[in-house]
Amino acid sequence: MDQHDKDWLDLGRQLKDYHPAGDPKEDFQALQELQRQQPDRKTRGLGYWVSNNLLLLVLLPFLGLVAFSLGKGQWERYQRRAAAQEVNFAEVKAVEQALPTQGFPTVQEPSVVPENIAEAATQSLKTGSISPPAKVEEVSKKRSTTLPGMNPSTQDVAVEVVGTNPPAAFAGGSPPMVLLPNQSSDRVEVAVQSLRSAQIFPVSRPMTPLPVIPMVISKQPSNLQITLGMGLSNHWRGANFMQEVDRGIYAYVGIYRSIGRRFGLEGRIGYRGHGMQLPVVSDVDAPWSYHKEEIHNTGNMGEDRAYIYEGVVEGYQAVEFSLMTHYKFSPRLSAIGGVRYSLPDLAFERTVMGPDEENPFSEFIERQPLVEYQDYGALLGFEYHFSRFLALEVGLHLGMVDLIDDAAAGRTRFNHSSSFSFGVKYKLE
Amino acid sequence: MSLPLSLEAKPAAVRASPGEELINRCLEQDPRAQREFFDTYYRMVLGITSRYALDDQQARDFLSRTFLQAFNALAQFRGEGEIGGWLRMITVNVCLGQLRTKRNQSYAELPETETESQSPSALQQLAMEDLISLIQQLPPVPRAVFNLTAVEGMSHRDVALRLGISETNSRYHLRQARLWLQAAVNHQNR
Repeated sequence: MDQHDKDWLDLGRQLKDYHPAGDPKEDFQALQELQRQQPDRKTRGLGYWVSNNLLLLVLLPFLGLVAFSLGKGQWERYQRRAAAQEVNFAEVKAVEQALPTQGFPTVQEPSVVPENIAEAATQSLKTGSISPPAKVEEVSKKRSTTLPGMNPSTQDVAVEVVGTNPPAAFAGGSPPMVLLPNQSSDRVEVAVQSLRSAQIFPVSRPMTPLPVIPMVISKQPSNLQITLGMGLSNHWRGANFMQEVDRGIYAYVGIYRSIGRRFGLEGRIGYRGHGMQLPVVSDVDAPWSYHKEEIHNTGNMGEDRAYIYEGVVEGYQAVEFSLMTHYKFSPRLSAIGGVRYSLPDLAFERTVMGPDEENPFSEFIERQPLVEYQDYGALLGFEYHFSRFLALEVGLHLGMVDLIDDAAAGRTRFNHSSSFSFGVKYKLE
Repeated sequence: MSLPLSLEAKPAAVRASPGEELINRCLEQDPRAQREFFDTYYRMVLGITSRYALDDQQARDFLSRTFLQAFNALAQFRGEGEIGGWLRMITVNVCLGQLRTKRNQSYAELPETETESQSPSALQQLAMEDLISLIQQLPPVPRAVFNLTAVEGMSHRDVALRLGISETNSRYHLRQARLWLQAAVNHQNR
C-alpha cells in the first residue's frame, strides 16, 4: 500500500470517527412524531399493499377458478359413480328377485307384513315425512299375513311395527324397503319389501329420477369459442440458455375455431410484461455503443476503464399477436404450434447522470426512443383440459428481438429472446 | 413480547450491565429509556447519515427513520457484539434504502474531473464539516460507493452486491467520487 492509499484510508477513518454536533432534543421530538404516525401509516397502507400485490390479487381469482373447476369435476365424478353403483345394485336385486328360490337350500321363513304397515310405508314414501324411528322386530308366524302382491315363496321377512306410530317404521333412519331407481315415486306399493338386514338401505323420501349428468368433455364442442388466459412466464435473453432470466405475467383474449375433429385455429391478442434488468451504459471510447460491458482491470481500485451507467431498462411490456393451430391428441390433451409477433416497449430508468455536454449518448436517449425493435417468434405448447371450459397450458416461445446495436450507424442486431409460459385458459362458448 | 434468549430474565445473581438494562427498558417502551438511548447514539448515527444524505435536513430524516427502525427491531438484537455496531448497520441499511427509493431525483452534475492528482492531502486539510458538505454534493451512487468503500471499508464485491451494480462500476464510481472531491477542493482553493 503506497502513501496515496494510506492517505485515503486515513481520511476514511477520520470520516468514520466524525460525530457532528446537533440538537438531540429537536430530533427526538421528530422521532416521537414519526412514532405517533406509525400506526396510521399501517392502517392507510391498503392502497400501497394492493399496488404491491397486484399480481397476487389478479392470480388468486384464477387459482380459485381452477380449484372450483377441479372440485366441481370431482363432485360430478363422485355423483356419477354413486349413481352407477345404485343402478347396479338395483339391477342385481331385481335379478335376484326374479330367480326361483325353491332350488336354494336356505330355510324359508314365511314373510308376513300387516296391511296397515304397508299402507303406512306407502304414505311415508309419498309424503317424505321423517318421524322418530320405531322398533322393528320379527313377528310370529301366527301373526303374519302376506302382503298383497307379494310372492309368499320368496325370502321376504315380515316386519311389524311396535308402537303407536306405524308410519314411523319406514320414516326413520333405516326403513326396511328398497325402491328401484327406475321406478317412479307413485309406485311405492310394489317396493314395500325387504330381505336381509344387509340389503336394507335407507330411503327417507320419494326418489326422483336421477339427472343425466353431462360428459366432462363434449364430443361435439362449439365451433367458435372465446378464450381467456393468463399465467406466469420465465424469459431469458442472450446466447446461452437461461442466461438472464426474468419473471413476468401474460394475459390474452382470443378466438378459437375448431376445424374438423382434431384441428383448431386460434388467434390471440395479449399483453406480456416482465422484468428486464438491462443496463444501458455508454462507453467512453465508443459512446454510441448501445450495450457492451467488459471488465478491463488495468490497475488497482479506481483505475479501470471508464464506463458510465446512464440508466437501466427495468421492465419489458408488449402487445402480442399470435396465430396458432391446435391438434387434439385426445379430448383432454392438445398440442399448439404457431407464430407470435410483438410490439414491445421498454421501461427505462435513468440512474446516474453523466456530463451531458460531453456525452452524445445522453443526447441520444433524450431525443430518440430508447430502442426500436420488434419481436418475432414461434410458439410451441400443450394444453390439458380439466373441463370443457378450463385448461392448463404450457408454452415455449422461441423468439428473435431486433435490438439496436449501434444507434449512430443505424445498425440493429437480432438477439435470441425466449420465454417459457405456464398458465390457465378459460373458454367461453 | 418474547425476548431473545440473551435478553430474557436472568438469574438474580447475574446483574445486567447498564447497556442491557437500557435496552430492556427500551423494549418495555419506556420513553425516558428511549430518550437516553437516543442521546447516547445520536451523534454517531448523525455522523453516518450526514455522509449518505443530500443535505442536513435529509440527514435528520434518515436519523429519525434509523431510530424508529431500531426501536422496532430492538427485540431482535441478540446481544452478540455491541449495540453500537448493530445500530451502525441499521443506519447504513436505512440510508441505502432511501437512496434506492430516491433514485430518480435529479442531482448536480459532476464537475470537470482532474485526473492528475488523486492524493487526498488537500481534503485532509479541510474541516470535517466542509468535507461532509462536499460528500453530500456527490451524486447518489458515487456517494454511496465512496461511503461504503472508503469509510465503511467494504470490498467492491460487497458493494456491488449491496447496490446491485457490477464490481467494475463500483470501482468506477469510487474513482469518480475521489476525482470529484479533488476537483471541488481545487475549485474552492482557487
